[in-house]
Amino acid sequence: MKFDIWTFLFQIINFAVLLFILRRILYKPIRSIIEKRRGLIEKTIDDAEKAKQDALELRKKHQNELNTYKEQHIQMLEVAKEEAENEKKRLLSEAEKEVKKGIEKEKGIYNAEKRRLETLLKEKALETASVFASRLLRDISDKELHKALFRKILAKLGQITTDIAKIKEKDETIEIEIMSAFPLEKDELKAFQDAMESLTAKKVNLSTTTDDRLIAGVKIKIYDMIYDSSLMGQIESFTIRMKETV
Amino acid sequence: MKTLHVFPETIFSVGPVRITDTIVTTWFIMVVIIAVCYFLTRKLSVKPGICQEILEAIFEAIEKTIKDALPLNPWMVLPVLGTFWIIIGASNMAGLIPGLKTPTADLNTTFAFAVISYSMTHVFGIATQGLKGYLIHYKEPTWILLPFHIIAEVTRTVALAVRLFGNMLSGDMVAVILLGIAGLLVPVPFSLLHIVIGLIQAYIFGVLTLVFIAGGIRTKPEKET
Repeated sequence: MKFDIWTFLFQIINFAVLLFILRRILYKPIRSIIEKRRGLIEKTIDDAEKAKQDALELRKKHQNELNTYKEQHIQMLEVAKEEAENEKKRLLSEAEKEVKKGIEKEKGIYNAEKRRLETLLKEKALETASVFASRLLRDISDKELHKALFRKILAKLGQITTDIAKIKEKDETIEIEIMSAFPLEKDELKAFQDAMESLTAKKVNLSTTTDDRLIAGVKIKIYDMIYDSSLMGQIESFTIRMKETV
Repeated sequence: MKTLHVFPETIFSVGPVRITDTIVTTWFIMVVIIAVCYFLTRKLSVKPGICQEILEAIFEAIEKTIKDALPLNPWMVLPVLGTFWIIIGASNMAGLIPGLKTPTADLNTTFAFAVISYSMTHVFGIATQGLKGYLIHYKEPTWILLPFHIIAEVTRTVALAVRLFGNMLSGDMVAVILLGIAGLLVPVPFSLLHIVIGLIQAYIFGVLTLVFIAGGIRTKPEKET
């Protein structure tokens, strides 16, 4: 084997040609594609980084907003609480008023009922008292008492006739009805009639009835006026007076 | 003699220019390489297919190797290194195809490649540091060592050429001798071994070139520090 300059030169040229061609069809395209991909990857990474930054900023923003909302929420809650408290107080006071009113009303009703019952009780008591008094008087009264009472009314005739004179001036005769507890004696009637006629200067028509409920004494009815000197009448008038005063 | 077939033979001559079978085989290999590369890189896209992925993985591995060794943009050196690996690797394999000569079993070829490698050392050295800056490292640490520097340059270039040539020629010769002695089956394991050796030699040639280039470039940064 010997050194051959032509082979040597041809191999150098071959290498150069191959280098040139491979540069064109192999190295350049591959380099460009690799760099393109790297660029793309970097861009993607940058984009991702940017997106991350954006997301972080957005998150921060949202966090701030959230905090603001939370504060607002708390404030609103406080306001609502205050309002609720006021409303509660108002309702409570209203309810208290209502209750007071109700109590007042009940009290009124109670008092009225009480008064009614008291009155009823008093009336019953008075009735009982009057019944008791009438029974008692009925037991102890007799004709003597009756006569004493009649005499008492005879003595009062003057006052009665002045009353009659005022009302019945024009009438010539006066109709008088005498209700008596015991039958009246004729002289007693006569004395009464005379006394009336002399006092009024008019004719007097007497009619008598007996009513033992009067216990004692008489009841004189002249027109629509009644003069009651009987014990029963006394008791009744006393009872009425008592009812009025108590 | 059959064994003589391992040496280059002149196929034809154009005047004084002799075209040997080494050159013809190299042309054939070049055509094949170019065709393959053309088809491989025809449809490159950002979303790679399986072929493109393998191709890119290979190139990124080369890129990383260069980046680790050189303080330069790897794509400046990559085409030279890549071409070395491709042409030497393909040439080393060519001998396995019946009727083809191994171009790297021709000392002229390996010398041509070694000279290119040697030139590249200087080209990149000067390109990165300037002519003066590059030449200064020959007198480091003293002028006395200048001859030794030059001897080193020459010997390592010769060693580069002879290493490749010797390995390939021996492989071819062993194959031819075994074929002469034992017929069909015995050369097969040796051929398999030859494949491995061929790939390793291609790799060694490229890596040594890279190391030499790095040596030429690194002088200055080392001095600066």
